[in-house]
Amino acid sequence: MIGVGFHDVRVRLDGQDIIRGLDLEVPPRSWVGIIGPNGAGKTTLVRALLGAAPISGVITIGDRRVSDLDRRGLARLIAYVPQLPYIPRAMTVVDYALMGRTPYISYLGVETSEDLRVVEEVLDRLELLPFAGRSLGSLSGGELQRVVLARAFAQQAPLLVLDEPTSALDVGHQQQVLELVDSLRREQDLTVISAMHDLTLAGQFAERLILLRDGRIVAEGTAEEVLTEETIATHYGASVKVFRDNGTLIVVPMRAGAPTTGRS
Amino acid sequence: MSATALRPATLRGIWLLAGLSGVGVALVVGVMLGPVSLDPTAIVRELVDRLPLIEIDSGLDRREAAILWELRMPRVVLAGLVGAMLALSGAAYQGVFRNPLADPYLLGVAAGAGLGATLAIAYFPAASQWPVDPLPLAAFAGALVAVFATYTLGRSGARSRTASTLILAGVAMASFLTALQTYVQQRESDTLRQVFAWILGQLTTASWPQVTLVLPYLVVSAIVILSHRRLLDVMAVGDEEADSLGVDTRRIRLLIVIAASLGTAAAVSVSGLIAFVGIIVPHTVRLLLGSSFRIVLPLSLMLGAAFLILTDLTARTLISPAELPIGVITAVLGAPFFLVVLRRSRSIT
Repeated sequence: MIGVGFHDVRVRLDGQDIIRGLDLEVPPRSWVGIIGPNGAGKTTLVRALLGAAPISGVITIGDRRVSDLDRRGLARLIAYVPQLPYIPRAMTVVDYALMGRTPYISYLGVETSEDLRVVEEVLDRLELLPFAGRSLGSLSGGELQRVVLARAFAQQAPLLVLDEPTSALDVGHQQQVLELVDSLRREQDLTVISAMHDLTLAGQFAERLILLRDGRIVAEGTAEEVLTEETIATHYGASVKVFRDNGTLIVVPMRAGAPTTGRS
Repeated sequence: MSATALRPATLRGIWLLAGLSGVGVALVVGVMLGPVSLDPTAIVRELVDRLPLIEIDSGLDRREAAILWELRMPRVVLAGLVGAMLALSGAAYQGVFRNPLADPYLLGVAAGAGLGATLAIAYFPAASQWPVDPLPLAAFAGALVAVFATYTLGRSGARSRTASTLILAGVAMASFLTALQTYVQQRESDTLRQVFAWILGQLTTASWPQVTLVLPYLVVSAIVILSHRRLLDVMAVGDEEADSLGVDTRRIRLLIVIAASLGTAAAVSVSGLIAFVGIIVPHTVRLLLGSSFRIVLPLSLMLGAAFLILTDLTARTLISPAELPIGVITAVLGAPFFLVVLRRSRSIT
């Protein structure tokens, strides 16, 4: 169980301010969804947390500063799932998942039986054991996404960071992946930070939403508080309708000026 | 299910044995054939006789023993070392540049080493009498300049860095460096003969001192590359992801490029420019046994040795008593191979 804090974080890249003074507390065991229009700074914020972007300000994980941690130390705290993971097609599922153990293996060392045990458990949990010997190139998109998650969970990090994890998946697989993340989060007391594209899914899975625009937090709170038609119109420049169905919010784009027939 | 049900990529004993036997067979065949054929069983007995604490009579007379030990053995050993190093370097470059077409020759590394060595021969002719022969070091300096120039050009040249961008930069770099080398060599025509002999491959004049000259560099380079086999597998997913797994990709890339260039330079400084070994051998291993560097690196080392010993054998027997430059044969085999790899890498990206 570990929380994350951003304290006056700024990121400047190529002479441009991408993140402009951001303060945020992510409590342990919570799921925070970062939303915002393209170019708002979602990916940069994720990269800053990974130590991959030059920042001013302080980012803390638990009681430690990201800037004080070396790469291996950070990799034991954060498991990262990129937007478009690179898939080495000839690699087998077990070899790919074993890469998640890298932060625990000495520089020139090799995996121990303990590492294999962890990977076996993870593959079993994600129902991937029957695929263990298959090459990644032979798997379907949904299976691949589970394999990528398997590598992340093999890292046994208390913090899971996802950058638009489902943008390449169809609606069914999007749901499956997010449900899987949610159940594993609850089983293992993980903290999840995810940049998300789909506002409806973000509202359903994240407990708190952070709306970024031009490198600043412009709205913050529960889905009820953030996903309003006015807020989305202001910051996305989009015309949307927000429907409510059994307590969940559904955000649907609507053509401006077109007649609407929905119940609201 | 027990942990043994998972089978991570690993170098199986049987493959290791097959690789070693391949080298052994190539070695015996390599020293056996030539203008005077030697009896293979006598060769094996000679080799066993050299082992400590074992004394047996091989049945070779003094002339045959001299042919074996003074003429053929150094040449075969040198060819094996050069082949092992070029194949291993090729596989290593392919790993750190994430580019299936990377090869010491096609990256311009070999040409850089060639220029460095030519400068050393042309301007420091007495240097071979120095306590440390600067030839491999000059070649190393040239190789490093070339590989960094190629990498920089290949990166900035195109926004979408495809496999072929890096290789185009490498080929341009190789042409440029070869032109410089030709200029130096024509200007310093006193040393022309020596440089020419060197470019065409000195395997023809191989001797034990050359083996001992390059062996230390090759050993260091091979140890560094082989010990990074697991990390090279991790680097297959790209810098961002590998970094997030706790791997310092920049440092490892630098280290591996230096090691592979050192090995290439040492190999080139005794053998001249030999193309395509770094593509043919690692890709053959991948095709047969899988793409993990834990398998590709050690087997490329062994198969590279066997491959170049047999190629050199072909070069010196095909139009006997004349000799073909060894690079002619590797190019004849390698060019079609290159095209196949190019097509496959296109269909993937």
